[in-house]
Amino acid sequence: METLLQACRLVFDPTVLGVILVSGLFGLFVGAVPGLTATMATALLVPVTFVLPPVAAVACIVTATAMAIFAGDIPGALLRMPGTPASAAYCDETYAMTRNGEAEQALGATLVFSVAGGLFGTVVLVTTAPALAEVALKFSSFEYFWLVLLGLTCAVFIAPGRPLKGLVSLGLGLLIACVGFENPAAYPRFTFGSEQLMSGFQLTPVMIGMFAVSEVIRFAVSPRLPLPAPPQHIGGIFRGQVGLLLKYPAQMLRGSALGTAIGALPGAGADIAAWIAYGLSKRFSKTPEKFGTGHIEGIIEAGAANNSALAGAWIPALVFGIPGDSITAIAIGVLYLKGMNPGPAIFIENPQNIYAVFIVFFIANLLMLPLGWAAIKTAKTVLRAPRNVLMPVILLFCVVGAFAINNSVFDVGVMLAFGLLAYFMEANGFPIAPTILGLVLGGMLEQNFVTSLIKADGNLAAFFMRPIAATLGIATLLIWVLPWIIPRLRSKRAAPKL
Amino acid sequence: MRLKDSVTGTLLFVFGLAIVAFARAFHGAIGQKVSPALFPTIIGAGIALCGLGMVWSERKNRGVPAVTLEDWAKRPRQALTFALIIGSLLFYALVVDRAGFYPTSLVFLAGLFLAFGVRRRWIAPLSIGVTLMIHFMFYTLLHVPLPWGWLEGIAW
Repeated sequence: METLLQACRLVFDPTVLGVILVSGLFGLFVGAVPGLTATMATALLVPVTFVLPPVAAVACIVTATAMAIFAGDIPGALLRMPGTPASAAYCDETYAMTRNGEAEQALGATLVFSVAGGLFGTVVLVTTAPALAEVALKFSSFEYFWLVLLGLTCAVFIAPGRPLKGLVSLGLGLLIACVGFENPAAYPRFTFGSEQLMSGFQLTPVMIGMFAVSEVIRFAVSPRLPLPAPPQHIGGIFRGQVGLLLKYPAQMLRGSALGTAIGALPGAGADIAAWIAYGLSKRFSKTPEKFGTGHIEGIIEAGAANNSALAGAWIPALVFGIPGDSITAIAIGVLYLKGMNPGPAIFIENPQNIYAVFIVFFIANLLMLPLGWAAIKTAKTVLRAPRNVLMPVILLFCVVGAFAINNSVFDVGVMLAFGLLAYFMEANGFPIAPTILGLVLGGMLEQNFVTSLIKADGNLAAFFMRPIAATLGIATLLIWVLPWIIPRLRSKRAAPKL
Repeated sequence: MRLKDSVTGTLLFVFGLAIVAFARAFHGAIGQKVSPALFPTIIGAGIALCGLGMVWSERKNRGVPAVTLEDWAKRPRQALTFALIIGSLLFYALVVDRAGFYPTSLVFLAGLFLAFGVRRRWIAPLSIGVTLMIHFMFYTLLHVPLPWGWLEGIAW
């Protein structure tokens, strides 16, 4: 109880509340402007978190991302242009509702069910994270090694595109993590005599490059099509929402539960959660023929899923230090920077900080109702924000943000190099998320691998001697092996007997 | 620029082998049980194998050109904007320490606004306004020591 009070004192501080409000408005703006993503918002916020106290820094990221994921639905519904990739799954559906004269109901549902999904995910986070942390306390380097490898494996196989390309992307991330002398042997690797490379690549310039600079490049080279005009007037958005809650409770719960679970898997975030939830909603619907014509059912399920995925991604991030998505990959860097090192120990050593993060999640999701309402009401103005003015400003933000890490222009060069790399990778069908996860988790993977190898005196069988390690190891190996074996077995069975 | 998977695969195969070869030079201290070369060698070998896999999976796709330029590369204006983004970032990195944040940022923004098609009469006020705003946010509020360069005499 004392811890909870301490956490409340940390959160209900004027600075933290002010940060929540401002970052909420920032998140809504970024989410509502097509071409700017929630991950980009997080990357741009990192330099700002330097001067904030730990809880305010985390609050900043949690609030901005929750708002951005919801706000992505606004241009989706009004212009048929998803503001963030997480809204793409049901963008056509919400736009069809707008054309049918039901823009208010579509926008109201995306807001209300985003809040519902976000709160559901938060409840799961609050209840499961401490319990998981107790289990994680018993983990040795063997379990951690398999857990990290399992996370990276999921990232490869869940990422869009071919697993082979996901694997290359992961390899690049792991290789980038090797640079510098921060490895178990403290040996300077791939530094080429550069002093700046001795401590490896800083995460922030790499993230800003891969998520923000690449996006600006993509905008610059895409044809400038004028945005369609949004509807002139948007009426009461909350009318009829209680009726929807009563009519579709199963869809809301299923979307929220699925979103939380997918969010917790490394490599899969809000966008994948929304696609799967929308697909499931259609499959289990009593009226699947209505999907695509402006039917609210899929919007409810997928809208709840993408916001619940945000909270779900924080479960492995806080308990094991393994990010559930690209946003938490950046957030983990901020946690380390602020001395809130993720892992089970933080639940014992700094429980007030963890409870404060939980409270921030509740506040951010509840604040979404009034701020989201205001964003919808002012959508006409926000959507008119000229992107040709915004993009150069964002690029300058990126440059100054990357510079702010070490006050060094070297990091600006790193940002540019990784921005170009991300652009060319995506143009050639290589997913970005595995690279980021590889970069974030590379050090942890090698550390636990080397520690385990030393403990086992080089005996690889020791990696399967402890029950949890063996289970995680077998699960990881099965994920690697099954996608190659199952199609071959199927084709053998399907082949006619001679 | 899109490369055919077999071309990317070949490049990755060579890159992976180069990593393995480079890692052979890593030697741990005496008594260290696990060499610092082990992890990069596994990754390099993995990348080389993936490269081979990509070449193998493309073996039937012979008609596809090795390199395809994207549509934007054939449109002069967009190709120029792409080059200008890279150029402006390099310009910032090379000039900011000597010239300082204010002049560098003004040129950086003005060039990009021009390239992105912002109306000319808006370019100067926007560049000045945004530069002042970002300087206030980062220098005054976040205490990032943005360089003053030529304006060192009036630094605050």
